Amino acid sequence: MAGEKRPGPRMTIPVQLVLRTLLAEPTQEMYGLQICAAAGLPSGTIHPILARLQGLGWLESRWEDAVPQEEGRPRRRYYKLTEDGAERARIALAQAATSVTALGLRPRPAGGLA
Amino acid sequence: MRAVSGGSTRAFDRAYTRILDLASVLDRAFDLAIDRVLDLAIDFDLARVRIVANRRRREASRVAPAAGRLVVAAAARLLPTRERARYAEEFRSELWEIAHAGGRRRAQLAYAARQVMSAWRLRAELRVPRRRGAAR
Repeated sequence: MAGEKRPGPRMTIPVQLVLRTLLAEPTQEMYGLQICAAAGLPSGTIHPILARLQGLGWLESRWEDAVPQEEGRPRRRYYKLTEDGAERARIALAQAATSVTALGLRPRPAGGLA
Repeated sequence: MRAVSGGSTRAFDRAYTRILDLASVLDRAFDLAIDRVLDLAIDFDLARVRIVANRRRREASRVAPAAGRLVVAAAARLLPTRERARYAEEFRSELWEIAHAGGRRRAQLAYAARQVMSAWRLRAELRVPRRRGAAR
């Protein structure tokens, strides 16, 4: 199995929006709701996409290190593109037949939610 | 005349002494008043700091309504067993983020409802990697 390249995800508009959002700052970790807001997607659509990308190895996730009692809020689950995932996402987006920009669906700038 | 003059001088001295005593008392009273005002100002500042701290603590501990939490818990129960705890916590965290950002009860319930509606898709996605034998 090592080195085997699994096929990429179906490049639907929401998938493209999520990938574009994550590629805007590939090294920055973002939590689900933050990605949603930045990509301009409704909250219900994001987790299946993130799970798909993570299953493909394009994405990695982790719980934040902060202690909830100290932060005064529940801990966040952060997502980030893997190195390989970022590369493959760039290629997939370039190859995607559908142009997100042409449809007028541009990702909003990241940081919509604190 | 001297006796009168001497008596007048003593009277003047006594009056002068009383005035000095009175001035001293007033001076001390003034100092005490200043101290009291400063104490009150410090108390007021401390009270204000306490009020702000309490407000921040209330905001920080603001939790999503029970209904929202129940609905996201239900959404998590629709997922594969090994993923339930993770997503239940993640949904709760996001629900809290919505509440903390000022999202009203309706927005929180809408978020929770969307998680339930998309749970079957998430469930399907979570089962795919296992079928492929991908490491998670």
